[in-house]
Amino acid sequence: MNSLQQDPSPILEFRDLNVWFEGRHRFAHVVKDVNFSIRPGELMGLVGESGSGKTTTILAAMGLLPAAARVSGEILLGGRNILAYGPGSVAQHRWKDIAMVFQGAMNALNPVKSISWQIGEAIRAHTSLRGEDIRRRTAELLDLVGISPASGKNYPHQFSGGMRQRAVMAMALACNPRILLADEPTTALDVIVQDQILKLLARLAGELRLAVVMVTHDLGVVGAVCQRAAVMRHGAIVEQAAVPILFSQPRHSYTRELFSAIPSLSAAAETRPPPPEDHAPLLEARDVSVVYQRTVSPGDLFRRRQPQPMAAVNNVSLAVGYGELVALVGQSGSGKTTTLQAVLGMVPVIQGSVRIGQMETTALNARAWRPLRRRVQMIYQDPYESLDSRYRVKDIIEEPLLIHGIGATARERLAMIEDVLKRTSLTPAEDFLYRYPHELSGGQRQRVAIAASLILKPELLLADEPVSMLDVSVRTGILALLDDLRRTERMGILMITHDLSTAAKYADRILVMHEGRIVEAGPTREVILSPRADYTRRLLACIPDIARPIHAI
Amino acid sequence: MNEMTTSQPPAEVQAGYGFWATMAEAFREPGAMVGLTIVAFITIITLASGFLEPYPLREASCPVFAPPSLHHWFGCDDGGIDVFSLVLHGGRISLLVGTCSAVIAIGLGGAIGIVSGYFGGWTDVILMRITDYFLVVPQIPLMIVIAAVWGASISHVILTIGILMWTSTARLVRSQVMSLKERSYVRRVESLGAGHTRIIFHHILPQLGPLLVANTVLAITVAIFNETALSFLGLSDPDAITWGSIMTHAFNRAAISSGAWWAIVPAGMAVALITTGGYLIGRAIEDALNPRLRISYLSPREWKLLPTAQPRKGANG
Repeated sequence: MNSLQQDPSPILEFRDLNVWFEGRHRFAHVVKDVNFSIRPGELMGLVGESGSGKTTTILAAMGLLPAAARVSGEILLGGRNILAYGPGSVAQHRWKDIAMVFQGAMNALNPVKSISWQIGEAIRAHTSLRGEDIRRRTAELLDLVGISPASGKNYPHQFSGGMRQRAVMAMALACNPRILLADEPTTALDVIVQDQILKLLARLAGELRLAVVMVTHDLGVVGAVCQRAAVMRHGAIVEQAAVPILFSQPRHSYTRELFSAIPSLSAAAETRPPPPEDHAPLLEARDVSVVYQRTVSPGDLFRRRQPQPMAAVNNVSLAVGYGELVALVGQSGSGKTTTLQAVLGMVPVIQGSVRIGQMETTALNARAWRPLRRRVQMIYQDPYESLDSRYRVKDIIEEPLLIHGIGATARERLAMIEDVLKRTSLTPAEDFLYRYPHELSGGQRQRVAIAASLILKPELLLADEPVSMLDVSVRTGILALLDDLRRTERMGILMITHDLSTAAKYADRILVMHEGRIVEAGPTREVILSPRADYTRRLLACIPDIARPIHAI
Repeated sequence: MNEMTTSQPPAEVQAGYGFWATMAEAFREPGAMVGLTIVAFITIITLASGFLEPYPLREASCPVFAPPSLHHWFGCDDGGIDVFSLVLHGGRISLLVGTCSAVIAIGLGGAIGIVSGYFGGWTDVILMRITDYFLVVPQIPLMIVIAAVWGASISHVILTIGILMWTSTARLVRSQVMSLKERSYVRRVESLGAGHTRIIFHHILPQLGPLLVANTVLAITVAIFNETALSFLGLSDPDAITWGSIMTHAFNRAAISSGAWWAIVPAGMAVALITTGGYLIGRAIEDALNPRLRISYLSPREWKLLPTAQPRKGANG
């Protein structure tokens, strides 16, 4: 199984690779003295946060850096330095020896051409095959990535995300490359699909003796599928080792920090105390359904029919008590966010009841909702998007006070703002008051968004994937802040997450949602350790785990 | 606390937020500076024309169609009036008409666009059908009708141009507002309990600022151009001196056939100059709003290999 002993000579080697980007005033050093190598049949993980230079590193091997880039060092392909003569000498090997699956490429397929046609186009562009040979090769490639050749005549929109990712991989393999560079190949995919793609990558590495460099921010993925991994930070590799060693004895403090941010699922669930029973109900939703009404098209008018509404949420019941943290888990498109929007009164509920602190909210109109908004606050997923870029921190946090007419004088409001900044650990407050969102890091922005919600002293906090857009190392801080709030302020929190291990570590109870319904609900311990619904079991089985490496299967 | 030290956004991202940043970005472009210089120069000399005009406008100061000379830089027209003084003075009305009708057009278009995009539904349908209606009204026949019914005057020209020009602004603003109101910062403010007025005036309108400025500048140039066209056709106030009426007078008095090009060309050049200047400014602001327009992904330039380890400007950034 272990290819390292069989073939010791590396196929691709980075030696002292440096990349600078020429800016208006200075050079930004984005890749610093990167050294690593990879052997045929090996899967290597390149891990790091956004902006750590991992994508730039592999783009250098493709020769696809932007014009502002300045490169030094060597990239050896089978012992020959392909960087020796600049862009031209790298271009010869692009696709033929080194191929790449770009981040999000599966969403960039041409929507008006069939999958087979698009793979055929790649073959036509890079090989001398023509006519019938192209068709045969396309079928072969589709078969290789686990798509039946017959379904190649389908169009991208008829394929699921996982299928499109497979098709993009088939395209990259068109010229029989020896090295495949995959940039975040599973990031936008759900756990179940992610699991399939990882298995495919492991299989390709084994069958084709393909060397795979996988760029990812997810240590779990690396642990499940890679043999070796390198951890990058600020453009430099801080640590590289075989995966079992890296995971069991991380040496660099940054690596340890990354690991502490990914709680182990079963360990987290086991240490979770059973939820206290005496929670007074704060939010109670009973049999809530939400449909998205399609607009009447001219065709509908002509045929005298009503358009079929789309059910997004179907008979969902849930409850959150004071001081309780409930996690809503499920794949994208399962109706989690719509459920939250319905609780918040931002989408109309067609059936069922939502009670917030004994008050029925489904019949309220926008004006009647407004005083209630003080009691229910929402934290949005993307802190880069959810703050108005023209507002200073002080104005962002002051705005809810102005809206609800709290605090008579500016001085009084300022005192409240400073207090809430302290509670969200944005200290010293004076440093943050007059800064703009773009001057803050992602974690700080999310804290500002939370502060702007907290200042209204809400009873119920709705959080829509509050950490999914943040780098791994800052997630723990935000989640710990939420956890602290519900303990000290007795706030009820309903948190959406797609990450079961986060839910296991912080939630009292977990609700699993699938296709608009809640398929399982219960205390964290029970849901994680003895799931009853089939769907929950599948979800749990697909979470990448170092203890169950895919390449060993 | 570790987020205090990690993941600071890269320096490139930090520039370019807000109204003034966008404007600063726009005027970094050399074209925009050229445009600004032209527009500022013309605006200043026309506004100061009362002091600058070397000769009176109502009485002859030189022979009929006298060619340009040291005393009469642009020569003289059919009545023996100095063309340089006429062009300086004519700019006043042209700029006034241009600015007023552009303000009407942007105000109307902006308001309709915001209401239509923000509220959507039937409001949107009705307002957009009205917009479509105005979009197809031809300007010159309408002006002829108005001139015939109410008489030709400057205020009618301003109204006509303003009322016909707002449609494209309305559509542009509507599409911007529709995407802005779905942005999560607007959703967040809405869930805080803010009313429509607050959202529109505090969160949507300021984001549209640079776009509206760019549009206003472009609209002014188009309005000046239209005003010139209308007065050249004799549909403007016959007594007012504008660049259009200077040209139409000279044209009617056979300036061309008598070889007196100087009676027509300076006014035409003035229109061409201010239109070019306004266009350069407007485009630069639009580019700054959407930097992607400037990046060329098919650039023939490539990255470079450095023989040594350190680039020259000092690399430890």
